[in-house]
Amino acid sequence: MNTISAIKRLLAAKETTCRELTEKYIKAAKEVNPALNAYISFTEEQAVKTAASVDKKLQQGAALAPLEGIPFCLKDNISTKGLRTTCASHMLENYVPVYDAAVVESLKAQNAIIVGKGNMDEFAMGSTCETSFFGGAKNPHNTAYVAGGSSGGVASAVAGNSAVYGIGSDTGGSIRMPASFCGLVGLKPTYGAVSRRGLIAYGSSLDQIGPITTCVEDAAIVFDAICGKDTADMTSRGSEPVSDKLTGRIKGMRIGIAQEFFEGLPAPIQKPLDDAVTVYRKLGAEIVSLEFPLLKYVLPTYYIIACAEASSNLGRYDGLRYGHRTEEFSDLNDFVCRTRSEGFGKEVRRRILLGTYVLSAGYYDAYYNKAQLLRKSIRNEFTKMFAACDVLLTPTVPATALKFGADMTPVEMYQTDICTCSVNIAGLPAVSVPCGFGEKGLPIGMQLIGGKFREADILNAALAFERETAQAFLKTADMGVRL
Amino acid sequence: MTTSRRYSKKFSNMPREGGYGIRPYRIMLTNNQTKCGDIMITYDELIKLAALAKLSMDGEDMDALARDISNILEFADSIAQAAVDLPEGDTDEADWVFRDDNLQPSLPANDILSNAGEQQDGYFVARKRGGLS
Repeated sequence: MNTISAIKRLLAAKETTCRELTEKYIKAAKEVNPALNAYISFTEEQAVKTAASVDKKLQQGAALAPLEGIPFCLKDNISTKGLRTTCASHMLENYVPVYDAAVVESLKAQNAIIVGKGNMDEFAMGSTCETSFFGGAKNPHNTAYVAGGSSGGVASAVAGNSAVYGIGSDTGGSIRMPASFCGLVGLKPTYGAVSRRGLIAYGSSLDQIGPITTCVEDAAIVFDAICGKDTADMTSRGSEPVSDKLTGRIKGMRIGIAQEFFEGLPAPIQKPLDDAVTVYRKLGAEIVSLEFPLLKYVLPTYYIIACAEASSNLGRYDGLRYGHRTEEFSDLNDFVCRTRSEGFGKEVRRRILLGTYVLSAGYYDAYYNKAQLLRKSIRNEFTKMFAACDVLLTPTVPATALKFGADMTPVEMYQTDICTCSVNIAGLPAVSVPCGFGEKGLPIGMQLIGGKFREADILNAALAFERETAQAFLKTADMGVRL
Repeated sequence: MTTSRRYSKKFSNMPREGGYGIRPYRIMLTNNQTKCGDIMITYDELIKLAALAKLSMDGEDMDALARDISNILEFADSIAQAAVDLPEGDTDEADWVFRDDNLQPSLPANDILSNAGEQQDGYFVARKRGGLS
């Protein structure tokens, strides 16, 4: 497995130069991209330049930062100065940011190497990556299936061995779902742990940036590199590093199971989760039964709030300052309306309309205000649950990867987020770790949810499982760079 | 002309009726309205909504859009039945961190204008007309 530590060892032992490594990854990314559609663009020039400076440091015998010289894939809704950032939308097809996102600044400060910008659902609105203007990303384990959404390109790049790790964003499950579908580790940090400055906004009270990696240790390393308080993001609080707290020991840890997450779960998904509970019992964890009766209201609450915030956030795309602009119009209002309808895809237009509806006079109290009240109740239920347990164990998605091009209605699509979006509503951290394989050999994910800023708890629980099962479920596809 | 159609769930991996509290749904289409349980979106409402959202309805499949929006609203409407039991004085946690209101460096105007379709003398240009009268 191409983990961060394995590559750092190769670089330190001078078994490869950073330039050779970078060129290998760029070559692999370009070779697999026609099959996977994982990348929207490549950043070869900048990558090779950074690699040269890493090699210079290595020649001088200087110590490298944790992510120095490690090639990664960056989701294309995270701003990169001078590099096209499309959000997988026709609206921003030619948009070139004039500043770097806070996480990009942190990664560049470490000389991390960006291989390219990862494909995604348009404006991060989707669960399969198929709403991308550039076509959906495929699952490297079986290209007839989706990579998941919305950070599907990033997961596809990592599982297809054309990036060592990836940086995604998660508004309702967009890191954890593709991680689950592609057999990877996906960490959605606590709201406020990582700065959102430079992340193109979808649902500002829900969005959070986080890593997609091939193992738990790598997720901790990347989280430590990107977390931190940022005065330019007023919701940012920062977080303590977690790598030095990773022990993998969980004896006495209380792991909560809320039955509502498991009702109606297909047997092939239930079985590996039951096995995981057995593993945790064996490792000395205490299993606690809990109730989460509000789960049935989580999806509508989430979609009302997310669409309301999206309709407001996407109001800025008027074609005047940046982005697509229409050629033919009758007056200024017509210019804005035509620009937006041409620039946004179907799912984005649908969510803007829904958000506008729930915020409009007459419906505001029934939908938006009620959803905000439910959001508080859902937070309170989590607080109660975390008084009785340290970590909650749930499925990540109640299914394995979906068939590419499956004919689903929007509501059917939204239901795939049932286990993930309560975490965003409550602003909690959660990690998806591979725990089994479905009937077609496609990966299954287990979600571990923690209390606010308790990333160390969930990563320790994930690491304990990973070690006890001898990494049996961590698997990248047989393609790309094999070191 | 009145058309009536029944749509069934196709997502075989997902829980069916009863699982996760999601109700099955049925949609009745007519030539100018979509009914979905208690939620009904008319074409007129859809056009008004689009105007508020600054979206053009030219080229939209109105039937499909009305059906989808009604369907999602039916799904969202389930929160009407939810009893909200919040402790008295329950408020949102202070997620907001304010900074001092001091003058900070900003991006150069030329950078800000670099993505504009049209600019002149340091301003964005908005045209009154373009091709259509």
